[in-house]
Parts: sequence; C-alpha cells; structure tokens
Amino acid sequence: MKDWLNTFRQCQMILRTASWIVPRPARAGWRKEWEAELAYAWKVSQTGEPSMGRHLHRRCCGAFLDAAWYRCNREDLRHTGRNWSQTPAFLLFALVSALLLFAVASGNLPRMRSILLSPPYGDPQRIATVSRTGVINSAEWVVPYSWVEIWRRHAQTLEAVAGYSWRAQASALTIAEQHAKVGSVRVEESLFQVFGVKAVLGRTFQPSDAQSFHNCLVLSYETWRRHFSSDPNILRKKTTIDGQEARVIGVLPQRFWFPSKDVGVWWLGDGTSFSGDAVGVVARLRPQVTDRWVEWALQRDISNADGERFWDSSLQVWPVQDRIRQPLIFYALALCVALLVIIPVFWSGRLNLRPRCAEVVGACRWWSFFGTKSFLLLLILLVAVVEFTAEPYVFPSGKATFIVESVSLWIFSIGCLFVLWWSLADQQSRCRVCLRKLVLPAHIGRSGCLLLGWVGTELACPEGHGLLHVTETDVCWLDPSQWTRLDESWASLFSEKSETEVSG
Amino acid sequence: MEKPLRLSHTSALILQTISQGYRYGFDIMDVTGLPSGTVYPALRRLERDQLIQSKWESEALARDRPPRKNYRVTAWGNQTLEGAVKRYPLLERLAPETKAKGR
Repeated sequence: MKDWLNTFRQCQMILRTASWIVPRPARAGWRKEWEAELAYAWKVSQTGEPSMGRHLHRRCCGAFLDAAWYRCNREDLRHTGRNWSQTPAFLLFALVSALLLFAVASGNLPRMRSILLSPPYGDPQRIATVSRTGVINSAEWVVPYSWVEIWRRHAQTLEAVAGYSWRAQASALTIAEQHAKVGSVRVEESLFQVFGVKAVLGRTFQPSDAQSFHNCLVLSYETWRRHFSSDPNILRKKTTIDGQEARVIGVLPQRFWFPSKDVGVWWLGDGTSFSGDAVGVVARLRPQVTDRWVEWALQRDISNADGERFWDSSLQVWPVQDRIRQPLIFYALALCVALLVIIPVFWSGRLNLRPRCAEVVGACRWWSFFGTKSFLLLLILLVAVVEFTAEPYVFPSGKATFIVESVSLWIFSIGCLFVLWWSLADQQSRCRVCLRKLVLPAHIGRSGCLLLGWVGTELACPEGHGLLHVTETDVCWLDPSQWTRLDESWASLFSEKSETEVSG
Repeated sequence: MEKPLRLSHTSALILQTISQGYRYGFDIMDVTGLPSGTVYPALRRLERDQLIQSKWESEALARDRPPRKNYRVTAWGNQTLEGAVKRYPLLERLAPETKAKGR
C-alpha cells in the first residue's frame, strides 16, 4: 500500500514538472484536468499491483507531450516565427549567421586573416619590398638583378636582401610518383634569412646549397599537407620539378606565405639563373632606419656603382605589411564614394527616415540599429569579396592579378551602394518607434485613370505605434512618405489580447 | 456551407470514441489503447477546431475526488465524423461499441 501511495506521489510530481512547460494562463486548468484523471485512476484501481503503477507512470509521462503541444503547437510556432521575423533582433541575428556561414564556408577566413593579421614573418615591420616607380612599362615592380648584388655588397641600411622571380604558370612537381601542379618562385638563398623563418621539417636554404645540389626546393606547409599527405619522409624521396631532377630540403611553417598564397614551392636560384633578369626585391631593414632614408641610400649606392641617375624614376621602399593591406585602402575609398552617394539621399528627407521619438533612448536605439545593420552588411560584403575573389599578395603575378583586383574592387563598390541602399530601404519599412517591420500594406485612394497606380500605400506598425503613408507618385506639396504617430489609445486595437477577444 | 475538416485516422478514432460515450481522457486511452501523449494533444486539436466541447463535471457527481473534465462531440464534430467514417471504412470496426448508459 505504501508503494502504491508512493506511485501516486511520483505521478503527481511528474505532472507538476510537466505543468511548467504549459503557458502560465492555461497551467492551472491543465494541471487540474490531469490530476483529476490521476485521482480517478488511483481510486478505481487501488490494487497495489506493480504493473498498474508502471501503467500510471507511463500515462503521466505522456503529460509532457501534451504540455509541449500547449507550448509550441504549429499555429503558435507560425505566429511566433512571423512575429520574430519582424523584429530588428531577427535581422541582426540573420546577418551574424550569414557572416558565420561565410567564415565556415571559407575555412575560417584565411584571406581576411592574411590581410588583417600581422604577417607570419619575424619582426615584419622591418621587412620591405624595393621597387622602382615612374617606369613606363611593366617593370615597375622589379629591378635589375645586378642592383641586388650591389646592395648586398654596399648597402649599410639593409640587414639582408634577396631577389626573387615569379612566373604566372604553375610548376609540375613530382615526389615519389605523386604529381602536383603548384605555384613556384625562384628565390635567392638569403630569402628566408630576410623573413626570419625556420622550417618545420628539414631546413631552409644555405649558401652552400646552390653549389651542392641542382634544383633545391622548399615546400609550403599546404602543399606538403594537401598533395603529399604530410609525408614525414618527403626529404629523402625522388623529386622532379618541371621534368628536372630536384631535392626537397624543407617544409615551411603553416602560416608562412610569400609573395602570394598561391606559391607552394620555393626554388633556389643562383646568380646565373637571375643574371640579366629583372627581379623582385625584398629586404630586411636595419633597426631605426626610415623608409625614406633607405630609399635615398639605395639610390645613392646604385648611382655610385652603376651610374644610374634616377632622373625619371626613383626607388620605393614599401613595408610588406602595408603592401599586403593596400587593398583595404581601396575598399575604404570605395566605401567613402558609396557613402557620398547615399548620404545626400538620406538627408534629403525623401525617405522620411529620421526617428520620430522624442526620447533620447529611442533615438539612440534607432541609430544604433541602423549603424549595426549597415556595418554587418558591409562586413559580409567585404568578407565575401576578399575570401572569394581577392588574393593577398606582395608581388603581383602579372595582368591576371590586376584584373582580379579590379573586378573585386568593382564588385565591392557596387555592392556598397546596393547594401547601403537596401539598409536605408529596410529602415524606411520599419516602425519609427519599435523598429519592427511594418505590416498590412493597404492601397489608399483609387487607382489612377492615367497611370493605373494607386494614390499611395499605408503600412501599420504591428505594435500600433504608427502608420506610414507612402505616396506612389511624387507631388511637390507632399512628402514622399509620412509617418503618423498613433497614441496609446490605439494600443488595445493591435494587442494580441484584443484579437483573441474578437475571435472568441 | 462549411466544408468538413479532413481528420487524421487517430483523431477520427478519438472522435468516434467520444461519440460512443467515452468522455474522459483516461477512458479514451483505455478504450483505444492509444498513449496519453497522443490522446491529449488530439483532444486539444479537436477542441480547438470545435469538433468537441469540454466541460467540468459537477462537484456532486465527483463526490470524494476532484471533478474531471469530460468531452462531448458537437454538431459540427458529428458532421465531420460522418465524413471521416466514409473515408476510413474500418473506423467503425475499430471503435468500441456505445457505452451503456449509467456507467
């Protein structure tokens, strides 16, 4: 009998727990119904059989499903979903989700990180490219190789200097019968000394390598992982590059890239492989020397040794970090142009956007929503453009790079205009007080005989804060849109309670 | 005239059971063999669609236990049930016989 009483109490406890799921207004009635059924069942079947106890337990556990029906039946869910989709929080949530989706789809934003984070080089603010400006041909990014040798011998302002030459085509790399097409760059042995980087497997180039081995290679971490399955014995395997016998002597750390993320192989070149060519130059500056000072000193070295006077051109020393982030400056300029186009529209009053709340808090809320929404939209656009079109680089690999960069910039510029316009249009279609999407569009007046359009459209705030009247045709004595604030007396008409009463 | 609702088989069975005179939640479970997690949500839906109506029994009838809630089929519910019986011919065989009066 005692067990049987315990069963009854346990069932009561189950019902009490389940009742918390039921919305408060219906909770008391719901619990009363279930407890009455339980009391009846307990009274008519006081047999004390354990199977009867289990039976009652099972029935009471079903109360959770019944309670869940109250909490989230389909109509309620639809109503809640519709209500939520009108709120400003929903839009912000959707934008943050889209941003996260881009981050996941792109593999944790590798290009954005390459551009924004400090480059994976030792003491990166001292690493700079040296190029010639004012040259009327494509050789602007490169200098004669003989100049690199002059600087190596004479330059007092440089700690180390290295030349490199980059082809746009990929090289065919074969290691132990495994083939891969990877971007390659021919470099001097001092390149990794300039960057202050150490290999994660094997080593980087040494001065003696050029004499000891023919075609000495260092692989990027990504090439090693993706094409050769992170083989730890890769250094001892038979290797060819573009049909020539070669030897892999090391693998670089995961984040290292230079001069572009496309490069998978650094191929050691000696003086003879560069002589007569124009090469890209990267150098490590001595501490506490300025870029302008280095430019002057390098020009002086060339003038003294080579006789070049730099009448029409000059040398440019450009920190690698700044060069990588240069696209951001273009994007910022594109954004400024878009703002210059949009701001006059905003202030002209055509969209009648300015908040209509006397309280400072309301106005702050209005502006912060508009700012956050526009910022998130622009951020999504930037991430999309950078991750899916632009490639961070230090040295452009020819016309293709410029075309891709121009296309990215155009996409971003047009995207900025579109995004800002959409943000304004969305703001216009929201309540000036609670920022919910306006609903119940109703045509006003009668359709015109000439233009077959309506005089205007009226939209209402779902909370009853006001009405927005949008005229269909511009007329000089009317604002294109007018916001009419409704006072508190209208609130009951829009509240859910009144809807229930009407339908009931 | 309003078109009768299309009921699921379970809802139709529960409606048929109520129309036979089994008016309490636990009685419906006993008769149909359906679990409480199916019967009660179905009762809520049927009541929402105005096919059944609920009412608390009187204190006098309950005596020494709390009054129970009972359900009865509305005229609209009967009309819908007729349509459901045509749609599910086996429903009449599955549903119990009419409960004897006074039970």
